[in-house]
Amino acid sequence: MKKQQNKSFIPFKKRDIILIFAFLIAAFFALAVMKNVSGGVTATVIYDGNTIFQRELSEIKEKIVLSPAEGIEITAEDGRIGFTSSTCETHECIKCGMLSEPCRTAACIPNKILITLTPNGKTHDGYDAIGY
Amino acid sequence: MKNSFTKMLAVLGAVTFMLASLTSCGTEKKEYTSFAMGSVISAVIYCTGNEDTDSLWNEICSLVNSSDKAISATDESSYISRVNASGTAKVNEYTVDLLKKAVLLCNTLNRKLDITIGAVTSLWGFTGSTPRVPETDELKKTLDSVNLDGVFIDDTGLSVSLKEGQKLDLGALGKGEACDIIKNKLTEKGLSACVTFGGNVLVTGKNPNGQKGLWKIGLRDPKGTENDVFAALTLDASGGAKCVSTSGSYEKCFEENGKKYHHIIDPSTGYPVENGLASVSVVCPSGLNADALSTAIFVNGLNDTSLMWLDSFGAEAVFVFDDGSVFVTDGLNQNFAITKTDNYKTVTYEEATK
Repeated sequence: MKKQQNKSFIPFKKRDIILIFAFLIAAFFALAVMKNVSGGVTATVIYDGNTIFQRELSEIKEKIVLSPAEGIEITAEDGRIGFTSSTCETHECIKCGMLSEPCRTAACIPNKILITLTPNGKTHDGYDAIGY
Repeated sequence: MKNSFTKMLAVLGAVTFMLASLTSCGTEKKEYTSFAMGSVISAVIYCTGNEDTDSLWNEICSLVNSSDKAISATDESSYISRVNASGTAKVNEYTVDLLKKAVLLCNTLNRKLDITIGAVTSLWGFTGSTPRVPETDELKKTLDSVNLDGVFIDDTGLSVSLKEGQKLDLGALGKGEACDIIKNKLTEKGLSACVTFGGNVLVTGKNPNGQKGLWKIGLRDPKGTENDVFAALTLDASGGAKCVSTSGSYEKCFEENGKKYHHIIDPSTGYPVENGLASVSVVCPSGLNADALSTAIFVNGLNDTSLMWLDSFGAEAVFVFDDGSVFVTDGLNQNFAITKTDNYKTVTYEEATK
């Protein structure tokens, strides 16, 4: 009689408990992987406060040339993006080169244009910011 | 069989719910970008969804622009420009408060940072399109104007007067001051955020995406391009905001007759500092203090006085030398890692100063 009461108190069989633990381990493993894997890099071009271009860099298969303002050229190709022509006097924006890593930026201040690369996904192994 | 299937379904549901809860953690990431003070401000703000971060960001930008309108050296209508143009001018309360703080900072830092250096920096023209090495005579004459004692701040009449020939330049403090404005607004709302303003970085609160809630900040490689990083700092801002300000010889520089000139001028000589330092990064709770310290310490070099300044402001620093040696103050040692180990190596204070 006592033995029967114990049996009804635990609703799962031994096999079910093993499966539950297997699911839990798999779930935590998946979570750990999700938190560490970077899902690529998104390039965003902002002109005078407005986003005019936003694409994942790896998705850009063919050369794209943007011209947000007269005399300005931004080129995206082979997983990289950067200023290739500018009307500003110092050409600091072009000197930033072609960007491909997350958290990198290139700005043409006089023309109010910014290229920024952000990591996809919720987390990443890269930098939150770069000080200079 | 049917019973077992139902149980499995229940377990799957529970696991899915748990995963969803863990991954979202209730935070939403909002990104903002604006232009101010001739630089880009980028912010990543984490919120629980209830805060109106769009309005907050607009308010922040408005405050930063107001600060710029007061202290800009390029905007002819700014209070500082008016003081520089006529030698005396009425200013607003904000400008008086900031100037008083700036003068106090300059004096505390043995005038290695001097806001009356404006006439000298104008000669060099680093912010313009045609920087040049000034003639020795004109530099010598202009150098006489660099003297904090010539600044008179009337905080009751709200006016500022300068000695003849003097010009104010708050370029070394403007972004740091703006970081404090941003910091105050973000901490008021209890938000976690990472803000970059020019090369200055501000982090506040726990990083929801960072390991152990820490923020990972890359430090620019002085020998590389703008986006090259030589080391990483991991900062804990859960107990209070941290500001990172870097002064480096790679910024705003030009070449004349084969010699490179950078923009950090020694107020006592009028020439760019040449002491073997390539950059100094200061980590400090205040953006204004971090900005002031990084410039003054770059001028002063690595010595006991610089370490005393850091200590008195509750700040830490990373000193990078031209030869690739790096000195890190004790409080940052555990949070600092060189990523370009082929070109840079950490050294002790004795090794760095011998």
